[in-house]
Amino acid sequence: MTVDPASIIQFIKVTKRYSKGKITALDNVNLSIDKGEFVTLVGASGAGKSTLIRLLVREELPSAGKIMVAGRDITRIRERDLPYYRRNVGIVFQDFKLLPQKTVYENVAYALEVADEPDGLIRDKVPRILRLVGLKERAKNYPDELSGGEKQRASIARALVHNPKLLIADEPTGNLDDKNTAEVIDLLLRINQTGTIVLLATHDLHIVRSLKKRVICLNHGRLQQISAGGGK
Amino acid sequence: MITTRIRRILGLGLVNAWRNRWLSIPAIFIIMMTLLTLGTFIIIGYFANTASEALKDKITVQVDFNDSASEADIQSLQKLLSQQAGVVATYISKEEALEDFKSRTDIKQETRDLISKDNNPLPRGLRVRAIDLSDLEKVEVIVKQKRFEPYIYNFSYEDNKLLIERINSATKFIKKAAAIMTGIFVLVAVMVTLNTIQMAIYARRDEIEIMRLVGAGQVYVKAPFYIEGALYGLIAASLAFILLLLASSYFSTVSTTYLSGFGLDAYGIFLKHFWQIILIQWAAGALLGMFCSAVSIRKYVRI
Repeated sequence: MTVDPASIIQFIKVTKRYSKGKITALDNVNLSIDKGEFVTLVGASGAGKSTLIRLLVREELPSAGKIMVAGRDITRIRERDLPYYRRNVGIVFQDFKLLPQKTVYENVAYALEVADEPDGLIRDKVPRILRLVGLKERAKNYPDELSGGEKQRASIARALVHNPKLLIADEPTGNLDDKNTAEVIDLLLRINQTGTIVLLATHDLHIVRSLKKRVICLNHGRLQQISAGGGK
Repeated sequence: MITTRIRRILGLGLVNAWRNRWLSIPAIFIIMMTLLTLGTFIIIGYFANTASEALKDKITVQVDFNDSASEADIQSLQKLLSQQAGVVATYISKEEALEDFKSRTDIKQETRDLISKDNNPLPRGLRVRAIDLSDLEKVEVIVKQKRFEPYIYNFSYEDNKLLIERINSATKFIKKAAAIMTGIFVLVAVMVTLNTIQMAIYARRDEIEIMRLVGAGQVYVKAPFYIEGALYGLIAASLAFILLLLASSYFSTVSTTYLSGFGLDAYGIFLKHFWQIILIQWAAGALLGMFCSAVSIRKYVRI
């Protein structure tokens, strides 16, 4: 597999081993994701979904292979440049990962502050994003004071604040009830409609079926089955 | 941009310190104990020094002469002694010896009345004082020279020798022990503080991970923790200072009652060096807090 200029994200023969090679989490994975796609990543626990995501946010390096994002091999990014790369990738987790000592507003603003964005832009942008995810009224609340769905929406707001080209959602509905799950999925679809690539990792087959989007399946570290889905 | 960054880092550090105030109590307590004990060691060392200086000042040895000794013989010994560095020999005439005797309150009036100007058996003498106690050994060697032997009636060094040697070795011991204890304690204190701050930061390791994942660079992750560490140090130093001040006030009252004459006015000394002491305490506290935060956070800031 060679570099495909049309693809925004490409995994080229990516292998990741742990414990001095005894455990293979990803085995020779080739994957392309195009501009504006909504891709669902499925697989059982331990199939390699989280490893693939950690590689994509450059939390870890592959044991072999290349990962191209917007034409750039991210395995070669210098450590001091990593924060700049991460600001272009929004990420949402199952356990929300909000800063517990900061309010919803501060959690979202923090992502802009550390990017040295001007105060005026932060004051303007954060309320807009909070309105988009329906949390404007909860801006002054701490994560402890929010419901699961609200926490996840706050986490999505933070992921979106840099206008990322790619939004990764790692089991974002794992801790949510049906109503909140539907709201979060709807929000992800709306974000995708604005041109942002969404990579959704889930093991909830009900969501996968209802989305009718492209599905990638990981099984024991291998990319086994790709379903084209019902559309972008 | 630099000023915005500094303002934001300062703000993040201060807000985090306030919001994590319950988590910070053990760290503040340990830094306070460290500074308190260090301060106590330094004060004890200072007073041990003052006390031993005061004691040394009170120790003189006396050479008393027979009536057969000529003024020239006495002067020659006085000159020889005074040539020694750190030694002062003062001549005491019969009249001065009488005056001293008359002024002594520890002798009964009747006994004092037995001696008068016309009937004065008190010997002439040299009162020898050494700046360093060890110099008195040189004095002994000189006084015990054969040529002075016939003129000397009494040499009080013999009587005081044991006491002098004890004070001498006690002073050396206290100085050495204080230095070693301070060294060991500094090491232990730094390790305990490090461990406490490490636990506080360990409890917040997820927070550090989140900061990295939202794109915060090293400066934005680490610097607020340094600010927090410095702030804990400043608070701990202020508390330690207040406790030291109270302790010195109490100690002053006790020392005035039991150790009068040794100049151990701890409270007075504390007030005299108020700013010096508090600035040193603040600096030590802030540096200790920052240092321990910096070492602890290195473990968790993996980019």
